[in-house]
Amino acid sequence: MAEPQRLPLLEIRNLSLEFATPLGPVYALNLGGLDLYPGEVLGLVGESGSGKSLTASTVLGLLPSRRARVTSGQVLFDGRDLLRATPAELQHIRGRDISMIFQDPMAALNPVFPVGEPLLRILRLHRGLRPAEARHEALRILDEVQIPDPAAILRRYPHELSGGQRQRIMIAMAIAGGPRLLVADEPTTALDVTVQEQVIRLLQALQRAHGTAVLFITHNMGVVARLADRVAVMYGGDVVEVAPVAELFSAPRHPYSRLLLDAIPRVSARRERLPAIGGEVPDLRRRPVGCAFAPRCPLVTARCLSERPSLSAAGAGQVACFHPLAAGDSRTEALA
Amino acid sequence: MTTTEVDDRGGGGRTDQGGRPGQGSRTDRPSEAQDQATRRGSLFWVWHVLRQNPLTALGAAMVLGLVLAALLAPWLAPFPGDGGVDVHPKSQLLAPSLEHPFGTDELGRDLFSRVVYGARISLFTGSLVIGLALLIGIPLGAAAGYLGGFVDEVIMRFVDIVLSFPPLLLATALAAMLGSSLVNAMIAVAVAWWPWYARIMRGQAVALRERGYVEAARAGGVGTLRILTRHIIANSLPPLIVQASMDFGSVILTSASLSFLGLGAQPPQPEWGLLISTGRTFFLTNWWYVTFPGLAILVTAVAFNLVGDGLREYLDPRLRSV
Repeated sequence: MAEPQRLPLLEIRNLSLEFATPLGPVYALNLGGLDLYPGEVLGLVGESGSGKSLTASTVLGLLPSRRARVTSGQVLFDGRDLLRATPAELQHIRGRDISMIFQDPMAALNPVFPVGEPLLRILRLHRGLRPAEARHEALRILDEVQIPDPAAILRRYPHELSGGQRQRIMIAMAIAGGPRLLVADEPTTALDVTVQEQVIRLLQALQRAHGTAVLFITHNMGVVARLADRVAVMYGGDVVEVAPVAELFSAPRHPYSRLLLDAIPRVSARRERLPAIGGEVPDLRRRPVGCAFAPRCPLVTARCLSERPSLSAAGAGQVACFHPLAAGDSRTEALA
Repeated sequence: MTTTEVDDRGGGGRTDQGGRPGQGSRTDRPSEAQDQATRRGSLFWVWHVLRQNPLTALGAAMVLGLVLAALLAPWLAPFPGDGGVDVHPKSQLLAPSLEHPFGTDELGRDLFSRVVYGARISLFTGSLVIGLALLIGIPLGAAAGYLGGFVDEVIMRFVDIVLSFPPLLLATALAAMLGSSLVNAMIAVAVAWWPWYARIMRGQAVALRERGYVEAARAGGVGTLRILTRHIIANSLPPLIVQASMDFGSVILTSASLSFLGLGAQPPQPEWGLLISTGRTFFLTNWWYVTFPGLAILVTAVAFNLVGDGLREYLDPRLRSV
């Protein structure tokens, strides 16, 4: 569990990122602040285009395109600014201190080499193991990620493995360097439901065993509820609310968080209309003046349109809203 | 692919529907029995492709014949000395016969022996030129495609400039500048040829750059050079191999053209283009002199094109998910 008095492992401060396009810049990220403490699992949720994955890529220094440019801000890992690290330093940190699990395990494995190849490579590169030791360690890690018959799997090619096995290999590669921070970008989205469940359990077990901090990106609220200690909700490139998972689910303070939770489909006998959030996703080509959510917010006021709220303490978490909801707030009726 | 998705440990979807008795042991692990069925050696697939494609088989047989002819020339040629400097003034320009299947030339040398020895020169030329062109084209194309930006612009504009010359013209000019010799002709052809491979390689690199495994490698702290070799280049080889095998014939033809023009091989080398060049003086009276070296070039070009087509199919991984 998070202990807020400890120093954060990862601190993102005022991160602005834009894409140069022929139609002018797109202001993709405008992130006020986000902290991740050692050993905690922070869920990062939000709709498509809200900047979840972009935040993860930026942390690893893997901007998706050469048109992307960080215009300001800091990403402090263990007190060190990753945005100002040299490529050589970054290369040293990646895979060793920070590693990543990707969404599509098929695409993330090179089809021309057996899956053991990159795993052994990481062990030799980041842990300085000799070939025989690396092999031994690889077998141990594969066993840890619950892959049967690890020796045979090492020699297999990606297309010979099932989706679940591939994702286990990816997880094995991610933990091989012994990272302190694991960034998981929708690691279960490409898997079918039963395998999803296994992968979640595995991640949970590994996280507990190693005490690794995890930045877990997903749009699956159910997964967040099970894995995360705290949840950060992103909207329009910024974090609008951070709260312990139980609190966020029971008493969301930001109107967007509330609407997002209401939009989770539930299986019920009655036919219900799925609540959707009205309005459109924000146009990121315009730099927002006030609150990014203001145009869609049912509780909008004049101040929301002219001034940008910043994260401030609310309950056990923080919220960026001038009119945060309270538990049992009468205004929640207006949202329903 | 055929490996069954049953070994995700920890329950869930492992039941095998119960409808296939006698296969229970197979579903426990996708190992031995499964391996036998799905992971055949590459020889199996070579055989499969050849059987499916008689033309490829024909091309492969022709290439094999050429290679054997080149290797076994001293034993295959009835007059091994005629590959070089022997002359037989008494048997000048004899028509094809049992003793001289391709006839003889103006110095009485057995043309069959010379054509067989010529296979050595042609195959050597082809391999070296293609090898050199790949060696220049692959790194430049990969760097251009993966790094992009300024590097890309500089390399590819240079490629455009080279490609704007007809390859034979450029090779001729270069060979003339370098001086007439077989080695210089090969260098000239390679210099005219590499931009094709640079282009293919760049296209591949651009497409592969955004692949998940490249991103994953970067996230894993892998260096640029290693990403280029292990991920970008390794995954670009199939189209390059296909193109290279198809080009083999054209390269031999171009080299022969240079020799024909007097810019490549020099007498008494039995280079096919040079044989045709010398033989054209006697064309009206001694048809065999130009015909057989010409046929040798034709057969070689056709053979490599057929093999290239077959390779395209063999290297397509989708084919193997039968």
